[in-house]
Amino acid sequence: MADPRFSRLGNGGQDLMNALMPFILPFLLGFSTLETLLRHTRIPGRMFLSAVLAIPAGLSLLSLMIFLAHCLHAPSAHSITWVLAAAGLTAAMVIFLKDLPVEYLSKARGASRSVPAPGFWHHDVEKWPDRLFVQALVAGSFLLLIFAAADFLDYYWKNATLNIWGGWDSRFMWHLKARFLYRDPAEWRGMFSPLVSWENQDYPLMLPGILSWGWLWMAQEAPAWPALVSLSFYISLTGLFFWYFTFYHSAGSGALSAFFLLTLPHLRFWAGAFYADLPFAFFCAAATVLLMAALRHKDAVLFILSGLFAGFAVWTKNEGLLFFAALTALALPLWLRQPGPQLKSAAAYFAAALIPLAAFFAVKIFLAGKTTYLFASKSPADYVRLFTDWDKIYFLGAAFLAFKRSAGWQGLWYLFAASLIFYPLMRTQKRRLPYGWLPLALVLMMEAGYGAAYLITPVEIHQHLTTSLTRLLLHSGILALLFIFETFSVPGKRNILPVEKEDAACSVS
Amino acid sequence: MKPKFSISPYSIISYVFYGTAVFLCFFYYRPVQLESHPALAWHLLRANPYAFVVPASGLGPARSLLPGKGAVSLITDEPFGKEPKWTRFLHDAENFLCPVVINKKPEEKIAVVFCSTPEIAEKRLKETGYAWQTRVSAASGTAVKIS
Repeated sequence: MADPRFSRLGNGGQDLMNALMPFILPFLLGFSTLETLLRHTRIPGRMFLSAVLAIPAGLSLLSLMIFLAHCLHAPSAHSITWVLAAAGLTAAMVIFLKDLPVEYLSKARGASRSVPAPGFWHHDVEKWPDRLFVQALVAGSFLLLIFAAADFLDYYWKNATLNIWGGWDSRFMWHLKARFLYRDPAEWRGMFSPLVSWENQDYPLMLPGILSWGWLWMAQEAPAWPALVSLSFYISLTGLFFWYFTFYHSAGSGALSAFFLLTLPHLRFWAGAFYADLPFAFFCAAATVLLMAALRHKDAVLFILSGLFAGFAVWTKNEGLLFFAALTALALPLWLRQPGPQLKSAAAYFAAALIPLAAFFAVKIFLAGKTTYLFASKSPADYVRLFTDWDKIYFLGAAFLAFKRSAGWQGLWYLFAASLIFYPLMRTQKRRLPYGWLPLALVLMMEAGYGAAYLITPVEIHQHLTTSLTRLLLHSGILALLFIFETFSVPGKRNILPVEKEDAACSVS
Repeated sequence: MKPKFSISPYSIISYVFYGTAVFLCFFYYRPVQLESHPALAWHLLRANPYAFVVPASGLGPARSLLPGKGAVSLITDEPFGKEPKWTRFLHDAENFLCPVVINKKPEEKIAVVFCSTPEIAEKRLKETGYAWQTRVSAASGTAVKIS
């Protein structure tokens, strides 16, 4: 008789598009939750944003549910997961559908306060021939986007079929953790055993939870699922850039930023390795963009979403803690400057981040037997010695520059250097939106943090750099691209935010 | 009346940037060199598990003989850490046998044996202090600790 533990490995899965089915529930869960939260905000392109963020948000919520189910009662974890998912979806859909007729079908649409998009072709010119010139450029950028999307999909499916098990970390760590969650929940704590040789016991479990969800839905360990998860995050990241620059700047900027992302060789490569770095970069970008939007619109709901996505970043990778600290450190002075309503925003931000942070620390403190070197104890004297090793600091600076000159960045860091020069000039424009410097500050803080981590690493530095630096630069690189387009994009024809005038109207207090 | 352009200098900087960004994308662009069969993409979307060979699936017959949990040792042609090929196999075996945990040292009561030839298997069993429990082929199976 076949061992029932392994019968799921090959029980068919012959249905058409079977591997796409596990996206349905996360999409519905994510979309209804986001739409419910966003419908009373004044954020432009609201439904597009909800659609772009829906799958990553839904998958992340399911990952947390799976972790919670395993903590509550491991032997019944699969059943508990189904109950939690069904309850979560039902609650989100009921709340979403409750106002549906008023919000979407009524002619008045009184409840909706979303700012209309500033015109699909919007730009800073109105008269012929300028208008024709700009419209031709926008049309050209959309053609480029279509070309890049087709080329990317051609690359991705070929790479996925030739490298279906992924790169080293995904194959031997992320997927292994997912198998512990999926195959026998009662034995899931085996992933924290010191016997497992490539384990990194204290790594957070966002990606394993997401992978486990797909396999649970399909009732088999479909090799396609990790590839499709990575693809979904790539599309969401591209969609996020497209949304942000189209609705806050101009359609051409949106299309060209998405075009740049789809052709970026390093991003394509690491997406095809199914590592957690792409989801992490996505969550960092989403949290940053939402924080910028929250500060501009002064809207507590957007702070909730920013905190939630920053929390998801923490639940994805250890580096998320650095990102969360940097994002919070940047937001804190802005909150403190205007106490009162802003304190409510701060509370919303922290409350939303609380659940993913709690899960992260539960793994670190209660489940993992040993922690990574970042959390290992060192004496103050050790740190002083490590942080004053000038030879190593100089070497690291040179290494960062050398890695950034790689052809795989497609000149991104040169553009970043140019944007550092041009940002002060460009921001003098009246129509320039505030808080565009946030991604720049995050890039600097994250790279400083990564540099500090390399200073204290016990791993041989050359090996550590060659195996990780490109991936780490991917996190800051996505934010750098955000800053580049923020600097150089043609601003909107009219202000989306007459910020000061809209303060009172935008607040959801 | 002669048409008059009114694009601001700031916008000209933006258009120069757009042109530069597109130029860089094409300058660094390399056409897709990978070759794969479209049938595999179809299998991918259908989530067909038989389309791809599962790494370390050679351990399949031995796996059915193992307890469903706990730890076992793995005995291969060489001790782990010397030859990258076997280190990689160890990681693949961990994925394949999960949730059974593999101890890469020959310390557990039960061991999975997966060697290239019967001679090597016998030699490695002697070195590690195990004896055959069940053989699923001439050079693979399960073994018990005897010393």
